[in-house]
Amino acid sequence: MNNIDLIEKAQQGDRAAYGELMKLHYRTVEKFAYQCGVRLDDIPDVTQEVFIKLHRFLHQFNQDRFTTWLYKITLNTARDYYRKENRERDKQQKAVDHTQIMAQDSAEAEVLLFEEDRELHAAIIQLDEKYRLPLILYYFQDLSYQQIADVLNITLSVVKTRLHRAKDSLKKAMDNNGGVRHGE
Amino acid sequence: MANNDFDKRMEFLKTSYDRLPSSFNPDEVLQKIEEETNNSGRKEPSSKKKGTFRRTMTVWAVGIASVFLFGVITAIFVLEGQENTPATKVEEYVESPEVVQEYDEYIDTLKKEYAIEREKRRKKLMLEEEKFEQLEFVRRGDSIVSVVTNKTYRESMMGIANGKERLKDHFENAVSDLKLPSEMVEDIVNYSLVDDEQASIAFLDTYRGKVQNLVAVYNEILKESSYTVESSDDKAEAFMQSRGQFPRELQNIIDTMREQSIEFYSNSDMEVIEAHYYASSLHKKIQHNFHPNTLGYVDMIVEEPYTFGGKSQYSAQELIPMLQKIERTLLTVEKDSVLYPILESYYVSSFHNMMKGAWSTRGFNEQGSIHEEFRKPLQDLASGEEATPLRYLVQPIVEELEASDWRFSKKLEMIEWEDIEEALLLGRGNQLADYMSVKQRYTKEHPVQYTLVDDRFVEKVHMLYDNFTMAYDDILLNGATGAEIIGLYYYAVELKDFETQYTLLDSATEIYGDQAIYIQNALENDQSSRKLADDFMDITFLISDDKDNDDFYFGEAVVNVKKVDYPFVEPREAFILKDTPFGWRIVVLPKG
Repeated sequence: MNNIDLIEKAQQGDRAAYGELMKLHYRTVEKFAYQCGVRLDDIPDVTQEVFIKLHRFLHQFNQDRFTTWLYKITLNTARDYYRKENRERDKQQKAVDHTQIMAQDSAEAEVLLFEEDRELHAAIIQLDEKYRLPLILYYFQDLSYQQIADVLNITLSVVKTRLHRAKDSLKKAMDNNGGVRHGE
Repeated sequence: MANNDFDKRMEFLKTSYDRLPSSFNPDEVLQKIEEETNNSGRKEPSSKKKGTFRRTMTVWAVGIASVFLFGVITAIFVLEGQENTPATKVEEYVESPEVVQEYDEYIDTLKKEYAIEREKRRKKLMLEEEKFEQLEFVRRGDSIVSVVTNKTYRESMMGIANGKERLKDHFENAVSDLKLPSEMVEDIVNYSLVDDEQASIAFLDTYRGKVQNLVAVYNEILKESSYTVESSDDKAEAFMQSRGQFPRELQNIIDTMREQSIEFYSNSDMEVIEAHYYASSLHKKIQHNFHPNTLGYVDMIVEEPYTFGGKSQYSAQELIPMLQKIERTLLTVEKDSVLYPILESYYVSSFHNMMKGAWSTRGFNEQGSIHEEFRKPLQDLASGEEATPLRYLVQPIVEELEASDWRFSKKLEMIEWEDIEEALLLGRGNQLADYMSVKQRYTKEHPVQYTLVDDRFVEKVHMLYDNFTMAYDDILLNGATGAEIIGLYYYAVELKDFETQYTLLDSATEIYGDQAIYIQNALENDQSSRKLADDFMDITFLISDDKDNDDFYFGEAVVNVKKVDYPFVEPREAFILKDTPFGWRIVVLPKG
């Protein structure tokens, strides 16, 4: 059953079809969330929230625009997740848990094996969101300029400008770090 | 770094992301969706909307009953588990006939008291037992009593020091669960929750649940009475006139339902009569007794469902103030898992329906313009100073509609659910003002802005420069006027700050390209040595009506110069600027 069939069935309340739809797309959500800066141990929560939210508004989808919506929802969920988390943290004034940070770093090292990957990933996360998102969608999610424009609700020329500036900033950051070649 | 190397690095990183671990389980999501559907009474996503409301409510009422008994039992035992600390637990209990009899008698007394309280409510509602026991809050009370009076539980209570008190607490909770909406109103009048947001939400959730239980049962009774609506302009009126012929049960509920702020009504668009909660004097009593952030929830209980069978229940004039009140709650209240998603869903769907549904089908007159009656509410929504999601969404639409004599708006055509959600998210993050400042700058009434380059202006440009160069973030220039951008450019030239100069250029500028090349050219051309504070007189900025293909406005800035570096015929310089999403940027620089 293809994507459109699954969406259509899920829209009619077919839970199994929605399950299949999730299986088709959860890796996209997980990776995109991580690339956007969601911490490794938060990815399961964010992914789950994305699909719950997606289901909530499923009957409103135009089937052709499913992918666009999936990215938008992931983006909003990730933003909202940390906004909510920040509020909780402010309330409780928690001390920083160094054990957690170390565990997080160690888990991340298993994903980004090479130092230069970790540096590049960190540099991308450091970029301003308006530059970071077009870059991620273009290089890691293989979206076209037009698709990026749809997801971010900006015009084509703005997509191009931001990508151009994002590349410049990133290159500069990498050059400042010595520009080590991959695997060396 | 060369482009080729950069692309390779990105490709390697992309491959690394494939190693991301996953513990995602679709079944868990389905389970949560199931729970959410049961807890909130939310409809399953379905394109078949018409006429499902009553059925949904009945299914909801039955569905919730099947899961909540487990909840009651779990809650009671968890509570006991927490409270049975070593301090209160006595040594291994040995059952003596006297103690058993004492407890049995005590439980019998409590059961009789509960039965009296229960019967009191049933009589007040004038419901047959069969219907009364369908009410979820009654079933919950009954279940508590059933659990705490069974043999196992009774024995566990006999084994602890304060067993009787515990039993009494549970019975009191069960009696409290029986309270009708009207009794809850009396409670809230006596114990206002104005200062407690969380308690307000909990109360309103329970209250709404009881109201919906009653509405579902009343609709069930109406359905069973086989009453058919005769052709009439006012079906509810015709219905009431026929009441003498109704079965006793239906007459009974008609006599009592208003005490719970529920009545039968008929929507003029529909061939049905249904029970609904309405803004009775009872409801008015509760309005001012909740935390201000939760007032959208209070109104929701009266106003829902905002749409029926895909159609809005309210006119635009009615709906807009409702949406504004809902919005206030959605922006300020702490998100809860029960009421917030429901109100958010109503807000998004009602606004979307209003903008896309009503006006795209019946909002236009014969000349193809939006009816005048719709224009005023839209203009009202777009006006004002506050940065709200509704204004953020509607303002550009109204601008386009006004410009096209109320015939067309591209933004109206493009607006989607996600845009509304995103606006709400930006609103909750207090970020809307940043985005809206761009929209507010267009002043068609005052397209020409004259700026004297005096100490005040120079100081403002210096501040703008200092702020911007702390982060080199485009967004910091978002609110700057065209004249300020020109001033900033001259100041950056004065300081030989090529990075800032480059940032001020739009990508459409002829010389825009690689930043390094720009800097190289700037160095080779030996830029002007003029000072902003000393060498310029004034800047006249004219906002044009022209737009480029991406819908951006242009503006022309003419600068009167005191000191010229070259033998100009006229001591003035002209720039063309474009209003981009980051604010004004230079498209054309002066020659020379």
